[in-house]
Amino acid sequence: MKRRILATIMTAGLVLGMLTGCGGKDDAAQTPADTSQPADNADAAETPDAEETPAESGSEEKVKVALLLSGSANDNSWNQFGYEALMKVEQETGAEVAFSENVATADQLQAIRDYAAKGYDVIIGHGGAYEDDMIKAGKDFPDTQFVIIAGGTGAEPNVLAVDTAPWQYGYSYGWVAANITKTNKIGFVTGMEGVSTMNNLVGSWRDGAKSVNPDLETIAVYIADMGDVAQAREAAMSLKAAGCDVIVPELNAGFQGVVDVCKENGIYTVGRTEADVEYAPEQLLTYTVFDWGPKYVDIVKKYMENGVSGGAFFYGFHTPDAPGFVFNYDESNGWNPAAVTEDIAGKFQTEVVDMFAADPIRSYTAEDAASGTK
Amino acid sequence: MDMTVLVEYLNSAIRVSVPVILIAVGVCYSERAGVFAMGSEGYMLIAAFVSVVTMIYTDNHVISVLAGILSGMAASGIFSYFTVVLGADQVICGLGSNFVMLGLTSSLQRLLWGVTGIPRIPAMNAIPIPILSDIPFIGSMLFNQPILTYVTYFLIPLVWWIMFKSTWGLQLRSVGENPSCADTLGINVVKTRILGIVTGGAFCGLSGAVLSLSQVQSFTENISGGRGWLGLIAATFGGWNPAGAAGAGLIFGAAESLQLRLQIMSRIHISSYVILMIPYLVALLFILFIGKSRRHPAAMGKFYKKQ
Amino acid sequence: MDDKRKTLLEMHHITKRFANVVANDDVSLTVEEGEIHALLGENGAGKSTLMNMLYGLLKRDEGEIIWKGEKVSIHSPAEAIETGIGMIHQHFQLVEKFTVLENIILGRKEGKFIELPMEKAQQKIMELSNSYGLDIKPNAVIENLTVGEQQKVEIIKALYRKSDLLIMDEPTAVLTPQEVTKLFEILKRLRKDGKSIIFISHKLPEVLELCDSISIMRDGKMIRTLPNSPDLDSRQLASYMVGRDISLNIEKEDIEPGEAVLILEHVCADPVAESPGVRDITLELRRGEILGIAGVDGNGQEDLSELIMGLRKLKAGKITILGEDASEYDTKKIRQMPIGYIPADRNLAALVLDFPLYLNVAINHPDRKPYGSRWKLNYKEIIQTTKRKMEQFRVSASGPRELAGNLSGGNQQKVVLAREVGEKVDLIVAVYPTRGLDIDATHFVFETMLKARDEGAAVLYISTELEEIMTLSDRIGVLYEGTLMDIMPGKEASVEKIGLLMAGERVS
Repeated sequence: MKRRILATIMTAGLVLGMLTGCGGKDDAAQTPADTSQPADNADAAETPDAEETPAESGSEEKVKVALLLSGSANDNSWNQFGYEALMKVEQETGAEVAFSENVATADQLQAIRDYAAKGYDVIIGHGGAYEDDMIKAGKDFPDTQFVIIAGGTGAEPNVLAVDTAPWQYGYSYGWVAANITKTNKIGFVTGMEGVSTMNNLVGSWRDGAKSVNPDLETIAVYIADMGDVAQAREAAMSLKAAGCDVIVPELNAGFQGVVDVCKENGIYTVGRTEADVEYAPEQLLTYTVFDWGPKYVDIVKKYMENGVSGGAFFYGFHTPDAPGFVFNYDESNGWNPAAVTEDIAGKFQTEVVDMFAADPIRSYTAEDAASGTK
Repeated sequence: MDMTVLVEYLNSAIRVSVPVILIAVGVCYSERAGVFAMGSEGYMLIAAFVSVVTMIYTDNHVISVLAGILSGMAASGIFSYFTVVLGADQVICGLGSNFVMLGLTSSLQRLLWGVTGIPRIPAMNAIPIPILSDIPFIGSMLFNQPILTYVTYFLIPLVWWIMFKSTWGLQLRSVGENPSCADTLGINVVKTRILGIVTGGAFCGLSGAVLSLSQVQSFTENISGGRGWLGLIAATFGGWNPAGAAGAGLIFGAAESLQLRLQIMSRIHISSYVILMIPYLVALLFILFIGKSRRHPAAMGKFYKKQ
Repeated sequence: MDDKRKTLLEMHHITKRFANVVANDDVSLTVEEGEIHALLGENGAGKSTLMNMLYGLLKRDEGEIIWKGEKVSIHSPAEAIETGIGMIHQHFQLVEKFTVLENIILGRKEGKFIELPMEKAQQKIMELSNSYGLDIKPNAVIENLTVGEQQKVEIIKALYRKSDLLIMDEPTAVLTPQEVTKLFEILKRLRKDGKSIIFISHKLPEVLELCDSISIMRDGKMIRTLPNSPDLDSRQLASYMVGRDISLNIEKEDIEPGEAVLILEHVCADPVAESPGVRDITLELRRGEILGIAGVDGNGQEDLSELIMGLRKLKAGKITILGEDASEYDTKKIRQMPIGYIPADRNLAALVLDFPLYLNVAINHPDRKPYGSRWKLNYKEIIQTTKRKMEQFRVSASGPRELAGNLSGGNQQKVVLAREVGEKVDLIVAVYPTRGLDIDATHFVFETMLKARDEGAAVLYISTELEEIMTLSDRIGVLYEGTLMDIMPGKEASVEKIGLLMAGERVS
C-alpha cells in the first residue's frame, strides 16, 4: 500500500514535469497583457461573413495582436527580436498582445486559427515558415490581418508578407566581405535551405561578393537545427578549414557557435547585438540591428488606419523612415573601421546603398543559394 | 584530396563523436545489467546544465565536470529506484525522465537568467600533446584534442576491462542475462542493477559536461539534441560492448562531420537536407545489416522480483 | 554398507503452511554421509517444498534442521551453499551466454572489482572434473552444450563450492538412457568420496537401481523411509506413493492392424526458433496400432505433431489422412476429420484456463450438434454433455462450470482426453500426454489409448518416457534432430537400442 501511494505521487510528479517540458504553448500563462474578458470586442463577436468594420482609431475597443514564435522568446536572437518587437507594439499602440513560443511546425496552423477564432485582429508569424499556414488561415478569416515576417509573398486581401529586403543586407555582407578578404574565400552558415528568405539572403550575398571579385569562392553550409550551437560551431570550423576568413551566420540560438569560432580563430564575422561587439571587437565587422519594433508598430498602425492588406512588402535602404536594418559598430561607425576603411565605406554608399534606393527589389533562386561552393 | 583536409576532418570526427561515445558506453553498463537506458538523453541534458552553472559560479573546470557527472548519477539513481525497486516499466520511466529533465533545465535556465540567456564561459580548447601531436597524420588527428577527449581515450579500455575481466563485471552481466540464476548464487540483483544504471548515468553526465563545457561553452534549451538516442543505437550496434559501442559512436561522429564537409566540397548541388540525413542513414543501414544479429541481454527490460 | 557412517543431515518435524494448504506436515528426514537418498512422491506430495526449505528458498514454520550435528538456520541459497548444500534444479540455473568457467565462478567473492581468477579456477575445475569423470570443457559456451553436459556443469558448480550434500531434482528427466547410466556412475563416485545425494524422482526403476535409502512422501507427509533391498520392487513403492495397491501392469492384446490411416512420405517442415523442424520423415500408421515415438525432448516432437495437424507449413513431401491428400489442408480442415489431438503443452494449446470446463469441451466444434449450430450455442446441451463426459472420464472437479485453470494437471488432461477422444476418432496424435500427471492419471491415459486402439483407432504416441513407450507401443520409432532414426516392432525394442538411437547413433 505504501508503495502504491509513493508510486502514485512520483508518477504525478513525472507527469507534471512532462507537461512543463512540452514547452510553453500556453499563451495564457505568458502574456503580460490582460487576457480574461468575454465579448467586449466587436470583432470577435462577428462572424466572418459580416460587413467589414475597420477599427476606428480612438475606439474604445483595443486592437488585439498575437505573435507566434518557432523558438523560445529568450534565445538571444531571432525569436527574441520578435518578442521585443511585440512589447514595443503594446507600448506604442496600446494594443492588447499575446504570444506563443516553441510552436512546432505541425502545430502552426492550429495555433493561428485559435488566435483568429479568439478574435485577434493581427496575427504575426515570426518567420518565413509561417507563409503556407497563414495563407490557409487567411481564407477563413477575411477580416483578420495575417502577417508573415521575413519570408513568403503573402496573398490578397489579408496576408501580408513583411521582410527587410534580405537581398539588400545579404548583398551588403557579400560586398564588404569581398572587399576585405585576403584568402578570397568567404563562408555563410544558416539553415532552412530552399525557403525564399534564405534564397534571397544567400543568393544576394554571393551576388554582392562576385560583383567585387567574380573569382571569389563563396561557400554556403546549411545545418539541420538553427538552435544547435554545437552544429553551428562545427560548420564554422569546417569553413575555417576550407580557408574562409569571413563567415556570416544567419541562425537562431546557434549563431553564438559561429561567433565563438570566429573569435578563437581571428575570422571576421557579423553579429546581432551590441554584446557581440563587446565580446569580439576585432572579429566583428558590424552588428545588424533589425529592430522589428518600429516595423511591427508600422504594420499595426497601417491596419488600424486602413484595414487589411495583402501581398509582399519590404523595408530596406529605400524606406529610410522605418529602416529595414541598420549597420552598427560603435557610436560613430557602421562598420568596424579597422577592417572597413573610409575608402571602402565610401564606396559602400554609392555602390550599394544608393543602388538599392533606386532599384530596391530583387529576387534570387534556390539555385543561387545552393549549399556548397560557387 | 588534400591531406590536411582529411586530417582536419578526422580530427573533428573524433571531437564530435566524444559525447555520443560516452553515452554509448554508459548505456552498455545499464543495459548489460538488464535495464533499458531510455533516459540517457535526459541525464546528459541535466549534466550539461549543472556543469555550466557550476562553471559560472566556481570558474573551475574540474569541479564543473565532476558536478556534471554527479548530476547524471543522481538523475539515473532516481530512475533506478522507480524501475528496479518499484518495478515500473523501464521504457516509460526513461522517456518520462527525459521530459522531466527537459522541462527542469529549461525552466531553471529562465528562472536564473531570465530571458537573456546564460552568460558565456571560458572555452576548453584543444590541447596538443607535446611530441605525440607532431607525429605526421596521426598526431594531428588523435593528439590535438580537448582534454576531455584524452580522458575518453583512457576510459574506453578501462571500462572494457571492467566489464569483461573483473568480478563485478561478470556479476553485472549475469544479472542482465539470468537474474534468477544470479540470485541463487547470492548476488544481490537489485543492488547490482542500480550500480549498473548509476554507472551509466555517470557516463551520460560526463558526456553532458563535454557537450556544454567543451563543445558549446554554453547551455541552450535542449542542447543534447538527440545525442542520447544516437548513443542508444551505438550501444546496440556495438553489441553492448564498450569497445564496439565506442566504434559505432565514432562512426556516427564521422558521418556528422562528413555531412558538413560534403556540403562545402560539392560542386554539384545536392540539397543540404539530403546530406544532413547521412548520420541517420548510417544508423538505418546499421539496423538493416547488423541489427538482426544483435541479441540483447536476455533479461533486459524485465522486472526482477525476488522469489 | 558402512555402519560407521556419520549423520550428515537431520530435518525434524518440519511443517510449512501456505494459506489453507499444509504443504509439509511434520516431516522428518535423515541423510547419512556417503549416501544416495531417494525422495519419492507424486507431484504435489511436498518434496520440492521440503527441499526448498533446506536450500533457503522458503522459510519453515516449524521444525529444525541439524547439519553435521549442529542446528542451522538457512535464509538464502547463498547461505545454503556456504553451509555445504548444493541444489541442481530441474531447470538449470545457468547463464546461457557465458562459458562453463564463467558460470562456475560466478558469484564467488574473491574481491569486488578484482580480476576474475580464471587460471586458478580452471585448474581447480579440471581437478574436480577428472576426479569424478565429468569430462568438462571449461571454455565451452553453455548454450552450445547438450543437456547432459549442462547438468555436469551444475554438478561441478556445487563441488567447486565444496558441497557435501547435493540435492538433485528429477535429474534424469531430460537424459537419454546412456546419459542416465553415465550420471549414475558419477553419482556413485561422489558417494564413494563421502558426499551425499538427495535424489528426487518419480521414476521407480531408477530409484531402485541407484539409491541406498528411499523416503516416500504423500500429501505433505513423510510416509516412510526404508533402505533399498533386492526384495523391494516398483509395485510396492508405487503403492506407498499412491496410498493403495495399484496394478502397474498393462494388459495388451495383440491386434492385427488394419488399413493405413496416416501416411507421411518424405515430409519436411522448416525449423522454428530452437526446434530442428521435420527432416524427411516417412511413416505409416494403421488402424488398431499404437506407434510410439521416443526421443529426448527438443528433437522435433512438436514439429512433427504440429505438421500433421496443419499447424506448420509442409515444405516438401506428402501427407495422406484417411485416404485424402491432406498436404495442403489447414488446421480447420484437419479438425473436421475424426482426429483427436493432445498437444504437448496443454495449458498453452489444449485448454483455455480462464474458461469454464463446458466451454473447453465445446471449443472444438461449437457449430456441430449437440453443441450448437452455425449461429448459436446450445448452452444447455453443452453443459449436459460435459457432465456426462466428466463422469465417464472420472474428472474430479466441482462441476462443468469450474474454471479449467483450477483443476489439477491430471484432471485437466482428462478434460482434454474427454474432448478429443470422447467421441469416436480414427486417428489420435498425442504428445507428452502423461507429463506432470500422477500415477492414477497416467494409468488412465494408458487405458484410454489402449481402448481407442482396440476400437480401431490409430494412435501416434509421442513421449519422452521410455518405459511408457515400451509398455504401450506396437511399434516404436525414435526421433533425433527432426529425423526418424528407425521404426521397429515393440517386441524387438530394448532400452539399449532405443537409447542409442535417441542419442543419434544408428544401430545396425
